[in-house]
Amino acid sequence: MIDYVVQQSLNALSFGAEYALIALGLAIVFSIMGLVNFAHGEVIAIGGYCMMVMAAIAFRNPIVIIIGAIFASVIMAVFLERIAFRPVRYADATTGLLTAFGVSLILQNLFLLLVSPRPIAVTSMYFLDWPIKLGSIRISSLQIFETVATLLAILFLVLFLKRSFLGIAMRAASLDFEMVRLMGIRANRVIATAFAISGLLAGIAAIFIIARRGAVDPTLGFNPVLKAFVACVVGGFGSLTGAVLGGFLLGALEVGMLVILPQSYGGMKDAFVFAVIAIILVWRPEGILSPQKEKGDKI
Amino acid sequence: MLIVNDLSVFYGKIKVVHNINFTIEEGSCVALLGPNGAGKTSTISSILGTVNSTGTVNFCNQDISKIQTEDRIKLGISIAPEGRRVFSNLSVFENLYLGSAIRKDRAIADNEIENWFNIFPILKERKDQSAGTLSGGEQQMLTIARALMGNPKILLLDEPSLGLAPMITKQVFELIETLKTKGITILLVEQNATEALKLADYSYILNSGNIVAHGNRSEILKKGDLMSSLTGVEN
Repeated sequence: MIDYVVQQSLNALSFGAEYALIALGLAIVFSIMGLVNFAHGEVIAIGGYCMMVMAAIAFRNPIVIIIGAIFASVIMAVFLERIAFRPVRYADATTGLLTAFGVSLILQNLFLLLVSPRPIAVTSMYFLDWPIKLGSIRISSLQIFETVATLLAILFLVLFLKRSFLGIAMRAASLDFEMVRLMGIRANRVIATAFAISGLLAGIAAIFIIARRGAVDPTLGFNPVLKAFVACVVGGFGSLTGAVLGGFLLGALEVGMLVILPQSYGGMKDAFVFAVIAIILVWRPEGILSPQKEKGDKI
Repeated sequence: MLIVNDLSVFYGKIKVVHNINFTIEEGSCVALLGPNGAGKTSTISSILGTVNSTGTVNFCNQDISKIQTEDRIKLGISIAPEGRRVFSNLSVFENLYLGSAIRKDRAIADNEIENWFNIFPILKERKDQSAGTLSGGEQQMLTIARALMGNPKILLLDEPSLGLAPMITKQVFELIETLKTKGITILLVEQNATEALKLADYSYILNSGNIVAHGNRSEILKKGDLMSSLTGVEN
């Protein structure tokens, strides 16, 4: 019984890690720009397609492919900020949201037209598919790598936000962006860095999604981003800690429902997960760790 | 040092400041006084480039009207804004550290922060505390110190005494007096005209977006009724 609980907990941890990675990418951009970047899924997909292309042109070394995927996602995220989101930076939140959806649809259709509507196998991540047996617990190397990589990414992010000048400026910008500009810190630099970090996280997520699915298709990142969006909402939109918490909570709920529900109700897993999330949101309408708002002006 | 010429400020189609002109000499303290809604903060915002405006703002012999806010700050304009606007989620130390953004050598920032801690020991005591937990007076000290971390050529002070207890207000004005004696050029926007007039070398009175009077303290006080109705200062 204990083995079974440990087994399922490890499964939940690995699912949660994937959601947390993507949710962090969404949250870091939202906390600074107030933009819900639904095109984040296509940044993940670019990472996937880059892995496919690199594998096709005989880069068999997984390390090279990983670096390529992360690099492609970072470049794509920064590129999208420059051409799509910067022009609407000071528009209202709805314009930003519609722009993100527009960019997402355009990119998905470009993948359909220029690559293929069908999934294309990417099997070069062989080291993520090793079965590991610890007593009676069976896990795959993917679960270990995914959890460790997510924890390292969170650690790196915390260190960056706490220790570096730009990181401190980003935390300040999440509260009062104009005041950061009034310190002489360039808005473009802060926002481009936020997008670069979200791209980095998307690239890492792409590797694990590809390893799990074994193939890339135009909607590779879209559904995970929707789930990550839910994780952000339940954790508290704008809070980075909330995004991580929401991601792991969602992973735990999904695995928990699969375990609890009778097999005949397995198809309704998502419905039960969202019912629990609805209850959480009734309890905490702004999410579990929503960023603190000033309750009164301290003047 | 700062010459504002024919400046108008707009919020959408609404014109809130009407073709005003004023000059600030290097090393002087100039006050911009007037009641709520007179256009004082809008004028400061136009100097910083954060609102739509027409006319020219000339700083150190350079027209800065068309350049980005960040570039204006880099030229040596610094602001302690209305309502403090400390980064409440950052520590006191981090707030001060961000103030050194325009300095090329950030290592100097540590020494500078230590200097400010000597001037305001209470900030040193609370250096790791989040700035949002400071009292109003402590936040104002932090805001002014943060604005001076970049070693600016001119300091814009927007309503530094707003909402502070009388004792703390006195301390804030003493601090501004100290800054003035150090030769820092100051543009002081205030509703507390009595204290501001004591400090300022020259003052401009704004009402409904127009400069309705200007002069040194004695000249302003001679305006009698106008002054008492706009700023509450009794002759």
